[in-house]
Amino acid sequence: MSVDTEGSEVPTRPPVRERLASPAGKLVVGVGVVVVVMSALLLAFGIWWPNASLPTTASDTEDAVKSTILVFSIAAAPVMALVWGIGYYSLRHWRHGSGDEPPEDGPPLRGSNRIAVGWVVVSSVLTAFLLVWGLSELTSTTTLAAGAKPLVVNVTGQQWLWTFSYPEDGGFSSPDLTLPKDRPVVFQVSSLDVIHSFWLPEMGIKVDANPSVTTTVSTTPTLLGTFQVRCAELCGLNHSYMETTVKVLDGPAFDAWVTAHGGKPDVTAAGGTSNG
Amino acid sequence: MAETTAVRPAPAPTSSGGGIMRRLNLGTGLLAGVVLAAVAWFVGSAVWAGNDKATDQAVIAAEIGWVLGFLIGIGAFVAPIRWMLGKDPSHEDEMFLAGKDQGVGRYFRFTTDHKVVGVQYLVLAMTTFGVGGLLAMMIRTELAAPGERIFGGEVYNSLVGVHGIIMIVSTIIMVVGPWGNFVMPIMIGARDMAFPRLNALSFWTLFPAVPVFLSIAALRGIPTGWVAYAPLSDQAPPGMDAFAVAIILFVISSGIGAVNLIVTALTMRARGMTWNRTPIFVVGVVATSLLGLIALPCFEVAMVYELLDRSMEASFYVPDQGGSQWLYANLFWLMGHPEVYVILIPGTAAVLEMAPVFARKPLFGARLAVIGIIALVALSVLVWAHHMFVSGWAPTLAGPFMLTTELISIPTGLIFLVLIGTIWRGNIWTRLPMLFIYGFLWNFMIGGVTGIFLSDVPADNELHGALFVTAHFHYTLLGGAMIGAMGALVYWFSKMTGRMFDEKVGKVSFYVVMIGFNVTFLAMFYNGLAGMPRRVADYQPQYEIGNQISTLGAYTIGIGMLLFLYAIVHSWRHGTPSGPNPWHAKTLEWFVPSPPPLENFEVLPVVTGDPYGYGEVDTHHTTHAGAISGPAGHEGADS
Amino acid sequence: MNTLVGAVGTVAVGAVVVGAAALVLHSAPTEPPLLTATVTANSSSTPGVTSEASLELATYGDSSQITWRRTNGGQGPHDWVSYGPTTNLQVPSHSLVTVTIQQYDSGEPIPNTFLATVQGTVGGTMTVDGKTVSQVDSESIGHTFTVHNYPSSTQDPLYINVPLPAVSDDEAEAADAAGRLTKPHVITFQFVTGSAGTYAWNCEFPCGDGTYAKFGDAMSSYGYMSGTLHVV
Repeated sequence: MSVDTEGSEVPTRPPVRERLASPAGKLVVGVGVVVVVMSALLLAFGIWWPNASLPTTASDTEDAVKSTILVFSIAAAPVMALVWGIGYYSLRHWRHGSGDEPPEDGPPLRGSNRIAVGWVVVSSVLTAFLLVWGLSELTSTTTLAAGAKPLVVNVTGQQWLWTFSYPEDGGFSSPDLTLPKDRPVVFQVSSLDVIHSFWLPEMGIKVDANPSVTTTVSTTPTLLGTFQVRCAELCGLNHSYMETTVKVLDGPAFDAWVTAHGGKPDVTAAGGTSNG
Repeated sequence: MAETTAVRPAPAPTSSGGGIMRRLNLGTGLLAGVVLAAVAWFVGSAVWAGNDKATDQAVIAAEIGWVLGFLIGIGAFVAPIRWMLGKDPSHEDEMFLAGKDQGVGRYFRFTTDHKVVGVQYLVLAMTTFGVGGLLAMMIRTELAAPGERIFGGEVYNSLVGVHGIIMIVSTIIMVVGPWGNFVMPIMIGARDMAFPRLNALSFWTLFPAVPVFLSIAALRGIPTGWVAYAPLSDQAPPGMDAFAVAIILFVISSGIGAVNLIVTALTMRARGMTWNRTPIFVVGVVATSLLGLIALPCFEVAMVYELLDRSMEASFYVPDQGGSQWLYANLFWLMGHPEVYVILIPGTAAVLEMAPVFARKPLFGARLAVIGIIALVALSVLVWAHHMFVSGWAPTLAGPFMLTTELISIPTGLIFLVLIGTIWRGNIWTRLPMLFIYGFLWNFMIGGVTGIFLSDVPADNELHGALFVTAHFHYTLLGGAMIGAMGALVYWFSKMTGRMFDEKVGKVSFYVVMIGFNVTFLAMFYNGLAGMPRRVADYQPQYEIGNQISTLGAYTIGIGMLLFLYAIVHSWRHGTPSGPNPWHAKTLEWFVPSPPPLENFEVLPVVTGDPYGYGEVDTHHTTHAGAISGPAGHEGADS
Repeated sequence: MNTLVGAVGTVAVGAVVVGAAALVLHSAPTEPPLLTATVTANSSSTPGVTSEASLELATYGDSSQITWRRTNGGQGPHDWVSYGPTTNLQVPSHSLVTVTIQQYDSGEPIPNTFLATVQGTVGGTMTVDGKTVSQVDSESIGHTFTVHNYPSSTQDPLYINVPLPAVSDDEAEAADAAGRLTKPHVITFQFVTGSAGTYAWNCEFPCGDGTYAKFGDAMSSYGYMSGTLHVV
């Protein structure tokens, strides 16, 4: 105990080591170890699983989706570890068996305002972070870069088939999709009958195809190759087979494809500029 | 002047002991239902013959005829008709209606005793869950191998749709039906519910809906999922009409039940039971009922419009005739999101009710739990369009709905805080209900976190309509709410039946279900992320391994559930007889015999404290149950 | 011991119920019989082709001509439009397949005019009553024969769309009055199959009268206007 200027004794808290060695301190350390270990495991899983399971990244939108899932996994890991850690620790240390008679009553802890407020504050902060992240991703994935002249593709869904047409490249149609790399594309999607959903899994975009309404979605393909187009809304008998391919070609190859289909390549397009 | 004539009330009518009321039962109900359905079918076919919609109209007429006939035949309208004719029921009549001295027969008629209705709901919930589970086995069988046509797309779509709706109905009634009806009135110190006849009506309105659901199979099925999106539902075979009629029945039934539960909890609590002393389970049941009352009618309206579209050439949902498919989607999801909380809250409240008993500690932050439940109810009506992020409807609302959806994680977090706060430093009694509490903790955490992923709009654009969503809601509804429901069943089993639940078989079934469940749906998360759509009968080869794992896991769940079923039946017939309070719990239902007598309490209790006073020596916090007949009624009351 | 027997017994009974339900659901809707293409020796010089095969199909205005439905009872009404003799087709892999379709039904304009063009066949053409064309009048289509591409790591892409022109309304009326079948259009086309695989095919012309978007009833019921193409 220290003595202040007026001579009366002011209690000070014991040093940290002593506090940690106390029963309450041992408890906190014990649980802390469990929670940290669980966090590490969950973090490792959370960092690994997005890339291990999501499809190839073929567009900037898919990139944004992957980083969102990664960030959310990382944010979730300590929360899950805390809850599960406390549950597990409790079971290990205070388990009193499954006899016919109950064990003695535990301590009458009815609540703690500090813990409640702390919990609400932390969860609100976390929620706010997720929200800000989400809103910024939403804005960036739905805003086309300034000055970009996007390729417009009309997508028509019907039971059980997609038809694609290129209104600004001569108005021809095709049963499968071909896109130029690194050029923003805007899909104008509609349906001839029931609700379908136009989904490019590797490009992370999806929008419903509705009858009598045109919905829009856009992205920029960033990888050459052949990817999938799927229907993601149950539309009847052959919904499972409402799939086709999307081929991403580089600029000149795409122009050649357009010409081969009887269209006229759009030479004013800002092709080849991938602005990340 | 000192003489006063005592005016006595007119004597109550005495029953003749016979009468139509005593002759009506389930059998007469089925008979009358079938007869009226047939009459309605023939009349309907004749009246509306020769137009495109004739079959739909005849089907709707037949289904309505079935239900009305059934209700007439089981005697649901006897009391109102007698009232209209001035022939009020006598005391003997009312006791007959309550099932007095009728043995097992009382479960097969229009019995008003809340305990009978509770048992009836339990059997119905188990039956519908069994049917839904059977359909799930079929679905997983089809998905076991790509490229194979085991049932084919048409049958598969119907399997998926009917599995979905039957499971939704089953999980909605699963906790509130049996335990809200059986336990809650006793838990609040009442003799019955506020409206006993409506109680019976709510059950017997739901009962005929089940054959209506099953008749979908005979009417060429449904091509939609349980969400029955228009305009695909407009295109559907007559099975869609049966679906719509069944939904309308279900919503009417749950509305009646919800009103009953709310009024009972509000007005019939025992003397001294202020809201601060009300068990959390009661709070959960009231919150659920309120939410269901607000939300479920949207589904009913959506289905009425659907029936009009299909049978009377209305154009609510047909875009090129002035309707909108988005009208349907909004109506549906205005129901659909609150509805998942209607499923979740009772299971959660049951888990919160059991946690103090098996940790021998007060409910940690009980007020936080109440706040959490109320906030869940309030927020859940504000998030519906997160199911429509990719629909193209109102893109400017994506941000606001993302906000409200992510806000829901805060009250959910409060519930977790209360649960782990109760378990922390408790003396954990690892009897079977405690296992279910831990199961809930594991599963619901995963379900909740994956919901956060889906609430982010760009992520949802990738994950919507794929198996990630399916795995998410199975984790919350099956892994959370239903595990809680199973725990509730084990917990209150002895109160309902007077016998202890067989914990050896129960524990084995718990582990089998948990392992099977996690295997099934973790593999499904993977497949969903990898791009496999939902509701597909066939898939690309890269999803084969995940699907095979899910199928094996699903069969394992099936085995576990069958074991649980065996445990239920075996314990009901041969279980160890139990005393009134085997768990040494403190809520009022544990101070009456197991099973409780017809009038629950000999003397209605007076409550002086809340039921979570574990570890508290001060008797001000314990609950007095008043004088109770029966052995060992007071044991554990003051511990 | 009793408990063990009871528990295992319950699981066994449950498994039997599941198995029985699967069996009923599998066999209840009668599967259309399999029509195997007639295989002949390869006389073409197309690379990757090892055989030739031919299939004969027809499209009718109602299912009274479909033998297997008449004899089996089948499922569903007998007055719906239907492909015949069946919709379950089998062709060899790496084969030049020639399909002949007798189109007996009348028709209407097709909503998606792109499907009035021939796609995926050899040369992108077909013959209609002897004339080689690469598309038909989109105002008068009876049905289409459309094979859904379902390329994967285990099967090659295969997409075909053949529009089948409608029988004129006059001819349809005359045939109706005389109680005979209409004089059909005869459409022939060829396509080359790749590796073995299973593909779904269906008619993409909305001919399910009386239903929303005319894609209900026959169009949404397996075995009428939709089927499976097995490449073996």
